[in-house]
Amino acid sequence: MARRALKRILLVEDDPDIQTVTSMALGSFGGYTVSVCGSALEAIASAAEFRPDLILLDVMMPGMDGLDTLRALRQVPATATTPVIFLTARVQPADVAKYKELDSLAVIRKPFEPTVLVETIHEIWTRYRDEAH
Amino acid sequence: MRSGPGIVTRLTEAQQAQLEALRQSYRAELPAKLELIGGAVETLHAGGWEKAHLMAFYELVHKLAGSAAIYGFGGISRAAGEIESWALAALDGGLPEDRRLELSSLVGALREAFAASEPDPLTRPRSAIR
Repeated sequence: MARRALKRILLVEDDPDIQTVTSMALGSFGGYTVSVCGSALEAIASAAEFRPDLILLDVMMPGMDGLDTLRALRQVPATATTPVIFLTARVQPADVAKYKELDSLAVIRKPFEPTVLVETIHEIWTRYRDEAH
Repeated sequence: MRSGPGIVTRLTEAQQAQLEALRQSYRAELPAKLELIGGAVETLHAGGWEKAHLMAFYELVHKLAGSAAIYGFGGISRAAGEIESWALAALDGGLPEDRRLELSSLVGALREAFAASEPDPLTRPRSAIR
């Protein structure tokens, strides 16, 4: 089955400054439709209506961290199988092993340069899409 | 100029201006962030270096280290990163007197980095891990 084009990205990130520049880059430079959520609860509440093609998920968030957020999003039908990319500075081998256990598509290390982020996401999605063929 | 969906080979002038405007807006907020950090340091001194205060302090400098780098203020990010490492060590191993004394010079270095701040030329960061 052909995988769809990447159009809608759900960004789950608690830092307002990172929300701003990341959503601007993804929207203005990447041409994606972006929904920004500042917490796991916001993400879970908006996922069904927004129906993202891809979720960008911060790991270190107050309250529910990114890993638990992903587990919770997997319980929402609209995001049960949505590909997820973690955005995090925590990339020690033990951390990366956890991300892989949760079947994340990739991990993008923070800090990232906004325009490179857009390119990187495109590359990841292209590889993911092509793996279906 | 884009060569395909999601691919940014070169920003248009309008896009560059948009990014630069965001950077300047972020820079304008840096004094307030530094003030928060200064306040957190005072709280540490006044509150007996309690773990809860250390954790709050760590989160402030962690966020600054991350966001400053993303916005192109590498000097500030590096200085905040040094403080972040100090805070992590303090959370892990406690705070002997000499370690507490280090904090002043680290915060001083952060203020110097702010005073010298102009956005760094953006360098390609570590890419995806998979």
